[in-house]
Amino acid sequence: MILFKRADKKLFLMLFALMLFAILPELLMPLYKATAKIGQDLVYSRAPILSLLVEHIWLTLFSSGLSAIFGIMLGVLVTTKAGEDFKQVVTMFGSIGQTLPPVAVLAIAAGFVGYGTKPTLIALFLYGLFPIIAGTIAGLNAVGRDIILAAEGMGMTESQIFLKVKLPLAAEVIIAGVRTSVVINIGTATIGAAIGAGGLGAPIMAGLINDNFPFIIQGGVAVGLLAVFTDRLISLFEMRIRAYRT
Amino acid sequence: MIQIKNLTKNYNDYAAVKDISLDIKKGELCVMIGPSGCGKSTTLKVLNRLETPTEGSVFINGEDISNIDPVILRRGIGYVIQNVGLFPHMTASENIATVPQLLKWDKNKIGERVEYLLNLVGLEPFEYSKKYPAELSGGEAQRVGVARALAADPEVLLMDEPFGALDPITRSELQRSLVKIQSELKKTILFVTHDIDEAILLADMVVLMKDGEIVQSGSPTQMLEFPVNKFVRDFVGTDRALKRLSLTKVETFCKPAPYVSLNTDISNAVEMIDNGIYIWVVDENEKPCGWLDAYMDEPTGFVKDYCTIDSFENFTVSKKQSVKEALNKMIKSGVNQLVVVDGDERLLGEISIDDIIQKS
Repeated sequence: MILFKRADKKLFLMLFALMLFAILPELLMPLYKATAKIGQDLVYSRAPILSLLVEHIWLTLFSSGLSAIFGIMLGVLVTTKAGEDFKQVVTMFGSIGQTLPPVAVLAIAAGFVGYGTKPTLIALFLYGLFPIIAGTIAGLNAVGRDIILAAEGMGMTESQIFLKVKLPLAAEVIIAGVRTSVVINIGTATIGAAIGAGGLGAPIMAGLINDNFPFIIQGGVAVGLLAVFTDRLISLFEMRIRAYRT
Repeated sequence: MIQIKNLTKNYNDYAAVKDISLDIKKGELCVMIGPSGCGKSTTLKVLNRLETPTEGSVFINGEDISNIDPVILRRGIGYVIQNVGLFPHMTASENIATVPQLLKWDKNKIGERVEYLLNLVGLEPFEYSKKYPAELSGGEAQRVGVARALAADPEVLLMDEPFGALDPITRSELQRSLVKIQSELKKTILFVTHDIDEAILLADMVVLMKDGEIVQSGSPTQMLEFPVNKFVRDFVGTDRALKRLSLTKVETFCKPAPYVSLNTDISNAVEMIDNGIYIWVVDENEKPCGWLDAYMDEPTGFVKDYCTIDSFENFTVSKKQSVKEALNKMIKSGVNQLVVVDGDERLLGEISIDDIIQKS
């Protein structure tokens, strides 16, 4: 991977911490002991943290992947001359998706497709759409008028202007939008556990229901580490793009 | 080469360009000038179909451009804009290579072309080819902009206030570069500006516009000498006599002048002073090095024992310099005449302030 030619120490440190905790949640045992009520289990045992982590990654990867594909497509579409009229509608829908509490979206989606992973994916997909649409629109609109005028005046076609000029210049902002969306989704995905989607939300839910603080810590720490790691990973992409034009 | 016929451009009810016609000959640099909103930029943009005329037509090489696919048309026309518009994510080389790449030129050919163009616009290829626009100064960026416009060797070049955003020093550097490039390449150029000095310096033909109409067109000298109305007179400025001198070359006023060499015998030299005041002195390469005054007490020996030696720059002008520059030097040095030299710095004759005043 050319991307990590210069090994990023922080990134590997975060990955190491995440994996270590996922395999050995007992590492924070003193903390569990300090916060647990008498007679409670200290370590979540219905499933290993590692497999919950994998589930969680799949949930966010799948939903954010869809959000990214549709979000970027919609963002691109509404910045073209043909799609300009839809800009208002699309951004409005995006913002509405963002304002609805994820639990509500989850409840509505569950009403349609039943319990489990599906409604969670739908909720996460809708929830992650807006930052990506917003980022795409912002990135494409930020490309200077003079740059586009020059491109047009030199005889680039519409699609060449888009592919060779607009998209590379907007890439950084678009990816920043994707990053925001993914990080939000990593956190939001925990509520999927409420309707049986699994993931790192499971110990948190179990902890909340049974008033078991160590479980909440285990889910929370794992989600936190995953979010921080992912944020760093995508940031590196952004920096790479920026470095590309010094 | 370029014929604009009865061009009109309306924006809703507003007429930006009103029925203008214009012929630009091959190899000519035509400067369109006028106050803001006079329609000069709109006219320029009609030429590469960034604007569509409401009425009238434009012919390039005899072909009506409305019959040419805009994309194809634009690839054959160089285009330089005020704010440069370099692609920030591409190096100087990649920016310049844009149009050749669109035209699918061979890679080696593009490479050679880019190197040639960087040299042409005065940027050392080794130093600049890999630089990104963010690393260039305003002047350097516009040099790249000009190179980019020339990349596919277009016959026609459109320049829309290309030096308008630069500081005065950089601007005059780029103007001089353009003059040099144009003398080499002889492109057909339409150049838009609102700077009259720039127009006079660069133009073969000046087209002065106001409110969408052509007020006067002609050579810069014609414009300065015979302004058709008060608007033109005001626009070219009250110093138009001086401006005209900036268009006249020193050689026009150069007249032969006697000179002696440093090793000429002084008595022979004295006989050669035909104006009774002084005679120019040259060294062994016929390069002027000073002068000999007529008033001497019983001189013996050689010219070099009596003459006044001065540094070359102080009392010489090149025949290619403008009379305005010569005049400036006379005023600065407090003298009435200067030696005129040719390209090899050899004495050609002299130019005097009296001749300039009487003959111009």
